[in-house]
Amino acid sequence: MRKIALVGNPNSGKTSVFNQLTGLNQHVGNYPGVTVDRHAGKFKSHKGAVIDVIDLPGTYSIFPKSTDEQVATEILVSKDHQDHPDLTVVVVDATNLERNLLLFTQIKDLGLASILVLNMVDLVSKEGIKIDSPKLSELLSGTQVVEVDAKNGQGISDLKRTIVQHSLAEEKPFLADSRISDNGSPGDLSGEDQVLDTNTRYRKIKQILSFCQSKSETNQSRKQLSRRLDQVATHPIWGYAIFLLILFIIFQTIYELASVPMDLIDEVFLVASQWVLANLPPGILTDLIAEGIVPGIGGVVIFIPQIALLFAFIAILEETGYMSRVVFIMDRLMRPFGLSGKSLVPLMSGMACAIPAVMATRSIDQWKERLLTILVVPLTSCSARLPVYVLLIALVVPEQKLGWINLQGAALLFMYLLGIAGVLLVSLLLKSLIKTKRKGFLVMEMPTYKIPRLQNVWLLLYEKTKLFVWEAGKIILAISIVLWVLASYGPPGRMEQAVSGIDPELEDQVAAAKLENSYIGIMGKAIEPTIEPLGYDWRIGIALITSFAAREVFVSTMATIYSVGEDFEENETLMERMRNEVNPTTGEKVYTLATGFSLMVFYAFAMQCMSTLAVVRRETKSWKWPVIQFIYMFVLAYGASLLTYNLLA
Amino acid sequence: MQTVLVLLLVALSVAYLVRKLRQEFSGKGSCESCGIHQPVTNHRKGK
Repeated sequence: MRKIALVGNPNSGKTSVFNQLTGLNQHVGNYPGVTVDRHAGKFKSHKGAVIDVIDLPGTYSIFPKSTDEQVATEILVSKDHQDHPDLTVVVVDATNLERNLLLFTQIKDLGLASILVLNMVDLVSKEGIKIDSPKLSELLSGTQVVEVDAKNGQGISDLKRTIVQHSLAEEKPFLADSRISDNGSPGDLSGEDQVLDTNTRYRKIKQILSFCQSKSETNQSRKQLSRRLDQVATHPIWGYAIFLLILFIIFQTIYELASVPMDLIDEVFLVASQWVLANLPPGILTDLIAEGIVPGIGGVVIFIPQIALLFAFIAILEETGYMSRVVFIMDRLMRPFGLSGKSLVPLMSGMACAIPAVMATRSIDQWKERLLTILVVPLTSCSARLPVYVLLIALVVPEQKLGWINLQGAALLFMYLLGIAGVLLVSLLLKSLIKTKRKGFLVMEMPTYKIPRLQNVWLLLYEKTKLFVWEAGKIILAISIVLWVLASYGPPGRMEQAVSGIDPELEDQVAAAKLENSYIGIMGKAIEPTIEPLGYDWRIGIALITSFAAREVFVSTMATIYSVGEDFEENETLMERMRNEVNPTTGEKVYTLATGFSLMVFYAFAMQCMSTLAVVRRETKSWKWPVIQFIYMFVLAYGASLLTYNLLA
Repeated sequence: MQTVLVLLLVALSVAYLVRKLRQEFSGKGSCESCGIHQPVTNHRKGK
């Protein structure tokens, strides 16, 4: 059976080629001892021969700098390795041949039988590049070159035929005096030798490409324009000012555009609860639907307009190519705080979700540096915090404008910046505790600026929003049901006793007394003394407990708590009910500016995400680090909230 | 009847939450907000 390995730079479309070749005949495992996924699969030739395919981790060269690259290099170099291929299929991004060909030339010098796959050929013509593949094949001493567009499956049958018909003969070396060929392990070469070898290769690659690749003038002028724009976008002062301005505009727009659909959704769910109570036969199932399920789900659905808008803006920034410039300027900002360039990509992806961000730290070769990044990543404001912030800002920040500045939008921007400040300060502190020997450098390619394709923005927006509603919706529904039961029932006799002295006409007081003596009320009351200094009451305490599963559960918990015992006759939406809530002992409103901000600060810093804890345990292979992370983030959150409450109260 | 249905719903919810909790710590969980899965081990894709 013929065994082939797919090799290529990260983002060369290697996995798309793998998916096209193997279809559903693939499985994922782990390489022993390391947390690197092993993707393997197979396909059948038209004559029925089975070809084994291994998709090796993406690598820039065979001089490994990370665990992923180490695994890929070891398989290629060591003939005894069980995954060592009979034939390597090197996938390159055809729009960037110069950089991508480096790896191919190194593999050629290892003496491995190879095929060169020019992927993304559809983009090549769009970018005004012309590649003469037969000439390229000739200049690479006869290596077979196949053009594919893996996204659309174009050229895949040609590739399959070339793989099956390949003679498996060793490649002729690319460099006559290569330092790789006469050395067992390329990683053992001295740093100086690696640089010399790489420079010689790039010189020869440039020479070869001058004969078989041409770029149109449009392409050149677009690059020039990008370079000119970069002089401002990556400027040491203006770069940051522009970034802040863009963030400011985004958050202002989110508030301007989302308020109307949000109010509408709030009204719709109120009407739905009223309809359920009026039209379904009375009983506990009707109460559960009206007071538990509808408000619980509504509490999350209400934030869809804002979440969708935020995703749309992020998609636009990525599509235009501006996000790469942000990574570049943030690198400069973060270095003094002990974070290297390589920490930046995980930190930026932490703005969406901490899970892929923790996984992305695998590209950091130094363990301590990686650990430092893992420990601070959950401080960046992920999308699950957005509903919490939006709810609390709507409650405590007036819906007013200061000149043309929307105060609520400015408050949301402040919370995002607070997350970044948290990352920097904690890194500075941890830097002295976890000493790293050397720092990785960020090497990245600046894509040219592009006008965003609306279709791509829409697809990303749709997918992300659908996932948010579906994935978060399931857990929120389950928690709302359990919570409603715990909030509606209490230990035998206790609720009855609590309401016995209250006039039944005073419905609000009866409902409040019942809730206070329900199972969940007792739990909330138990932790009240601990959270009282932060300005929280026992109801907020309940939400803090339930949202340890995931932050967004806070919102649905509040929605359920403020709906239990409600008859919905006063036409008050959830926001209005919360805004009007009064502390019975002090007579003051529960949600003041001090309580609201103290609570937001708590959510900004506390580790309330089980999924992140689980992924940190998996990535660090021990419980020690997730436990340390949980404790330090809790202490930080408690301290910062206490300070905020006392400053604003 | 309504009581039976509520009990059934509660049992299903608790079972779902326990399953979710076990998944999280066995390395097969996913983020509730974005559905991104943790790296999976030895399970077949697409089957």
